[in-house]
Amino acid sequence: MSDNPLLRGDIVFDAKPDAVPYNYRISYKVSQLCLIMRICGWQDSCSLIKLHMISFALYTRENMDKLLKFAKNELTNPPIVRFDPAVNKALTFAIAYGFVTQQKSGNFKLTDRGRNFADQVKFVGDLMVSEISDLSELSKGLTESKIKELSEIWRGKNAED
Amino acid sequence: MLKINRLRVEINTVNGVYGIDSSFHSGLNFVSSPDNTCGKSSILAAIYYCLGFEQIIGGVSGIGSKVLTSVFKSYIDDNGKTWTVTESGAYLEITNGNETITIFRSALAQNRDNRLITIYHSNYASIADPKTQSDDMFVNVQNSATGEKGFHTYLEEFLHLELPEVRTSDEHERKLYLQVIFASMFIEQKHGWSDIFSGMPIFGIKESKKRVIEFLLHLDTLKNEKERDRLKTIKANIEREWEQVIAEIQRIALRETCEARNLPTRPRVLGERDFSQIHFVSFDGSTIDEVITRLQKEFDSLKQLKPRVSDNFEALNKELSETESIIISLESDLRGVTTQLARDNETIRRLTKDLEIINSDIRNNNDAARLQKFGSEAKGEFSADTCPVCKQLIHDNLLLTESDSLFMNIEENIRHLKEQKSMLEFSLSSHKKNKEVLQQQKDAIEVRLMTLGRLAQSLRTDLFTTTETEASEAILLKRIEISRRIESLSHLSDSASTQIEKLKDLVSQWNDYLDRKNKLPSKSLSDLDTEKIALLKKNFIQNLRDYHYSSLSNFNGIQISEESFLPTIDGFDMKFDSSASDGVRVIWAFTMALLQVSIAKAGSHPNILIFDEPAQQSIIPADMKSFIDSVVTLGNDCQVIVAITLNSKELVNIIEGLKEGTYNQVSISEKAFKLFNFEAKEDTDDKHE
Repeated sequence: MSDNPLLRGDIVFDAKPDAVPYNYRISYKVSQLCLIMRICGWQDSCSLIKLHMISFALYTRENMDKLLKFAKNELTNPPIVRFDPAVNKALTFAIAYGFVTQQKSGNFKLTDRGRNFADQVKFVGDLMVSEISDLSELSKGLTESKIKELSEIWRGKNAED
Repeated sequence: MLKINRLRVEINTVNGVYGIDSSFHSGLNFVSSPDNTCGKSSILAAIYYCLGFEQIIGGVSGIGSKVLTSVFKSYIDDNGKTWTVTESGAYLEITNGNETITIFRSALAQNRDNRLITIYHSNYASIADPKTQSDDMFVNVQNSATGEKGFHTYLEEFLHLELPEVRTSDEHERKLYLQVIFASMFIEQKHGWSDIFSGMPIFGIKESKKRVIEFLLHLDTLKNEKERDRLKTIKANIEREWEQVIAEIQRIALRETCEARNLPTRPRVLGERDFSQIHFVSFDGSTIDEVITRLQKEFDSLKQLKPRVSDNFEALNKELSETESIIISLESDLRGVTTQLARDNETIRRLTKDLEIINSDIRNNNDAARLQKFGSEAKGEFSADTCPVCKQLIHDNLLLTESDSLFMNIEENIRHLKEQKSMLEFSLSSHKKNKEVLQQQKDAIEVRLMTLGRLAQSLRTDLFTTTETEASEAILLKRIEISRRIESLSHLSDSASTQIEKLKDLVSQWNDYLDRKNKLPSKSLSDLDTEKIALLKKNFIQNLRDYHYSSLSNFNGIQISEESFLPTIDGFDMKFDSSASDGVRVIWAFTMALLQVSIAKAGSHPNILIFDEPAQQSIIPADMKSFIDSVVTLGNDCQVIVAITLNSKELVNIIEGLKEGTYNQVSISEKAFKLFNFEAKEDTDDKHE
């Protein structure tokens, strides 16, 4: 290398800042989780799996369509869910900000502050419009019992393997 | 001008109708009360609300009745008893000097949208008259400032304000909103006293304060800037048409497998010589005329040829093999072009998809950015930049990474995505252009292949024909093809000349545009403008002196900035160098000076000012007196409404010391909204009958 006449000086490399996808912004994900619990949860509370399922469905249109079909019992094959660690992390933040508490059953529930916040986001009218409309379409259709059914299937399949 | 004649607030409860009914005069008006919590601001809020200017109180999102106090919406207090409000609303009678109208807007109503405004074309007393016409209009919904049924469109016309189109931060043209203009005249109590025009709602208008001052003083800068904008559109139009004409010429040339030379691709002034230089050449480099003569010669030589097959057997054989080899090479060309076309199509499809993803990314990132702000503004509920546990600075980021790596903040991220988007768009457009060129090439090759195919077939039939006497089909076909080609080539020059006529027309337009552009003054301020600004400065300083502005020992450093038209001290914003009470004096002085200049120099000021509690901070009654005196000297050409708390003997004395007839006082004792007594009730009964 030292013989190379082109590389006489030192090479300095400055790390450039990385782009962060919106899905990995605390502000976005925490708001999204609050909205999910507010719109899709019975009494503003959701199980962890439900949060993961809906949050994953919000990634793309196709995911959402599949979940909507599943909720309406129009789908024979259960949808595939990707468990994103970012959701867990965002939940931790949401708890720390005081938007969410964990109930004894293990489900997560919005606090008064969280409910206020979600309502404000909805009220502004031009924030997260597509998310809100998708969530409102899903509404409470995805019940915890359906999710339980689904997780039974997962367990069953694993046992076979 | 705008003058408020009368305000009537009606708040319905089970106990009866509460409210206030007060008239306002030209000149100075006081809304006064001995205590601070009597509802003066509610009265002023009702005025703003009726005019659809609630954003001056509540900011951009403060639309509808939420800016009003609870008296309008939930319950009213009457001697210790509270009554629930059933429905409420307010009538406001205003005049522009000639006509009088009454505006009704509901605050709380079951079956009426509070963005609906009813206009009665009469004064309040006769709105129940069946002859009185009324119109329903909307306010603070989309297009309410430009749409036909928009109240602010109507109000603009009613007040004879010609609102200018102004540039927004996203480079669109938009009308200067009435709310923005009136924020410079209605100084609201909560936000209005912190800075000059601080109550101005933000609608994304570029330099909105400057635009408002230009408008109020009717400065030429606005006219010149408008002219400049007009010229810009003219220029864009000419450029677009020019491009179309050029594209059309190129297209018709290409159709005949020719190429136009010396075409001016950008608009410029052209003489006859330039036009005569435009000519067409075929792909082998010869001009049309040359091609036509050559074809003519070929045609003539074909005529001399004996159209007999047996005589030309050798020649026919040779020609057939030549034609076939050309066909083969053309076919391979076609294959190449087709493959490339398919590849381009695939790329375009992929790019379009990428663009969609980027667009949705940008949208979501914008949402995230707003959520970030939203979270920290909404009563400090959460700030994604601070750790909720240890309150240290963190990145707004959920990715698990090493701590020392850098992240873009959200604004950078959006910029980053937008750059990507423009890159994709550039790439997409160049691929599309490429595709067009390829398509044209493909079409041209296919046409040639077809012609050659026909020729080859005729040659073959000729070779295998048995009868001696039959005429050669190939020669006949060639003749037909050549004469057709000659015809289409001569047609080309005809259609090109019509396009060139169009071009000549555009040239004269372009000439005109350049002329107008050069006539615009290069300096933005005209002489008249300079005069107005000088007067504004003079009045402003005089007002400061009158109001005992004391943060400066001399006023020499005060200037009206030519960039922003706002006052500066030695080039700095005034508020940095002023004590809090002097900040209030600056607002008094500047607001008054604008009105004074507009009156003196025939500006577009609607000649109305509303001050809510001008005695902010440690303003002493003596200052208040000089302020009121200066309002009185404005006379009756304008209307000034001052809400004031008379909590000291001096203040009461000041008002009582004013000459009779120079002012009108609406005094409020205890509460502003009282149960309408019998007489007032009769008045309302009148209305219902």
